Amino acid sequence: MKILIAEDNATDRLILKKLVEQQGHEVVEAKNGKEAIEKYSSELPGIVLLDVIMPEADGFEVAKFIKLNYDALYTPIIFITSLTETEFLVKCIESGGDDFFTKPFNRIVLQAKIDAFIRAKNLYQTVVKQKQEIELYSEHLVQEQRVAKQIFDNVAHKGALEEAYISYSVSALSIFNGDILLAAKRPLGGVNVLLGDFTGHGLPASIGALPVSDIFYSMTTKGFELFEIISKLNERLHSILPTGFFCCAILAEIDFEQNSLTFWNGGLPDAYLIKRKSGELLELPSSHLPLGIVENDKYDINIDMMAFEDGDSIFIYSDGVIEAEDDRGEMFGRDNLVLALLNGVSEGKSFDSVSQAIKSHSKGSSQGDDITFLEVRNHFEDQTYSPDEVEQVQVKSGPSDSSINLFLGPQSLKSYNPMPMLFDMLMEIGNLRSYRTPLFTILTELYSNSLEHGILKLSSSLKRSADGFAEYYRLREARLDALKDGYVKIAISHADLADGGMLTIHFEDSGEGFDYKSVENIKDDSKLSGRGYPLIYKLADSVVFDNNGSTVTIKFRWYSTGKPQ
Amino acid sequence: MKEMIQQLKDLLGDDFSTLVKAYDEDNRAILDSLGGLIKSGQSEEVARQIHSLKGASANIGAENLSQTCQTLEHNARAGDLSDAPELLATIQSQFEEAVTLLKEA
Repeated sequence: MKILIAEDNATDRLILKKLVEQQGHEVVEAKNGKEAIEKYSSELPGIVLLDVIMPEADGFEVAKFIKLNYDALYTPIIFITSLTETEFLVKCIESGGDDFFTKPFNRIVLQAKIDAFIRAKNLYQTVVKQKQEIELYSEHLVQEQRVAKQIFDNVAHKGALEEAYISYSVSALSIFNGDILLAAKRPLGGVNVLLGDFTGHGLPASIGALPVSDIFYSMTTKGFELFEIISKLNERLHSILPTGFFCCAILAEIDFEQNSLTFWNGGLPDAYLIKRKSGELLELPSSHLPLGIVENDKYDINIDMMAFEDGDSIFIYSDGVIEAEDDRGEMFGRDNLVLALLNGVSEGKSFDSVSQAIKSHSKGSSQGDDITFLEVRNHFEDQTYSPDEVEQVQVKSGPSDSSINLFLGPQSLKSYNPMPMLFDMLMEIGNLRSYRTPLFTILTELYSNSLEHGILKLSSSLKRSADGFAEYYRLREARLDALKDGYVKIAISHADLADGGMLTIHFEDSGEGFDYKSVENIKDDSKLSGRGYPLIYKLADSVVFDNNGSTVTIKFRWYSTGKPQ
Repeated sequence: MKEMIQQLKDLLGDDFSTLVKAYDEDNRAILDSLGGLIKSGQSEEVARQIHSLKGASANIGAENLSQTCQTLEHNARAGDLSDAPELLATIQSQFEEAVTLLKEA
């Protein structure tokens, strides 16, 4: 180690130099304070042996200079002294001294001191180096998380969360706590929501959010049913998540027109269906395994359907809510949650009531980063069927001279939803994307008409009451399960026209048909509303029935700009 | 003192003569200046100079000399120079003894 000796008395300097050299160190000499400062700055010695009384700046000044300008180097300063007054020693320490070495010099004492300081200095340097490494890693990690969050924000975007009928609370970094909250409008109106809670924290907990978000948004937009989305999510998460990692989740589909709620809870705390009219809270407990634990063929995706009436809302939360701690470590708890929900029911302000209760509970506590909750309220949705107007698009683009013939036997009808596939292809043709809502409506209505009325012989009058609604879907499932014969044939062809095109959609089923004349008779009634054929009459250019109503052919005209020229 | 001188010879080797020369010349200059400083009553400067001689003398093993220096330094720091001329005389003779011993070694 390089050691600076600052001592004005030549005798002492020479002896000290020899002693230090004898111990294997390199010596830099200074004859006075000024020289000591210069030599220190140019040589940056590891240890300084400093006489107090020197001409041209005394030892105190030199020590102060070193501590002020080179503090980070941690240079131990040993004052050489024969003074023993307390006041003087205090001054040495105050100016930055670390130790004393007294005259007459003692070789053993000097060696002990220098060795001790070298050890301390090495330790200090190790700590500094480790600290720098930690800072670097930490900075790196923060940077990575920032980038990751940007990616997540793009994929797990807010979707429909900003709609007026949704209230939600989610922390900015919730994704790194494993929480994910998604909402997307369904192509035929209504909304799908998903609240997921991955096991663990940090990046591992957030990786699964990418495919979940991706699958949820793309399948919802393409019109897949909730059970199909759940099935896909489970399949994907089971294949990518390591053993022991999974995702507790709630998925819900709300149809504001039919006033229905389709609900699935896999491992999250009970959600609540809030009935404003009666002031009741209905618990919606978990009755399924979380996503990603077992393979799809062992996975039970039974979905509950229930009425979702005017004034109703659904409240969904992750366990961070009931586990939120106050400053004494006391958890918020389920009782407080239910109390807060009930307090807000009559005014329809359950969400605000819960927000406030949690806020005042966790006041003074730094907790609350993984608190995610959401309320979706029923509302009147005015579905618009008019196409988007666009700049001129190429007319003959995509599969514009194609036709599809699809035959669906009983097995296909039980387990396959042909709508997303048909829809996907049609969206590639010309400007049909602008017509997605009316087109999707027509296809979906035709298909459910063929399947549910033609083949399963379900009566739509059942759907008029809340109880009948649930009964309708129970019967639908039961009859579909038992289906042995029957088919639906779908034929779609497209013809290019100068300013757009014409779709011909043909549906045929093995059912007995229905009294289509009564539908034809009321088609011009302007008071018509709701779904089914009345809606199809409104959206299509022509509707022609055949075979007692078990065959129907629809013409659908579209324009390249979204409206007739 | 002889024992210390032997240790220093072992430590310094060829540089021992440099040490003897430096000790003799530097401190003789200090002693030459002290008479005047005492006469003009500059007690603080007296203490400062004698402090340097005290330390160097301790390091060559001249314990008696170092002790006398300590007494003078102590008094001078307190502003008392009444015994200073006598102490200086003692210091001068002890210094010559020390230098003689160093040179003989």
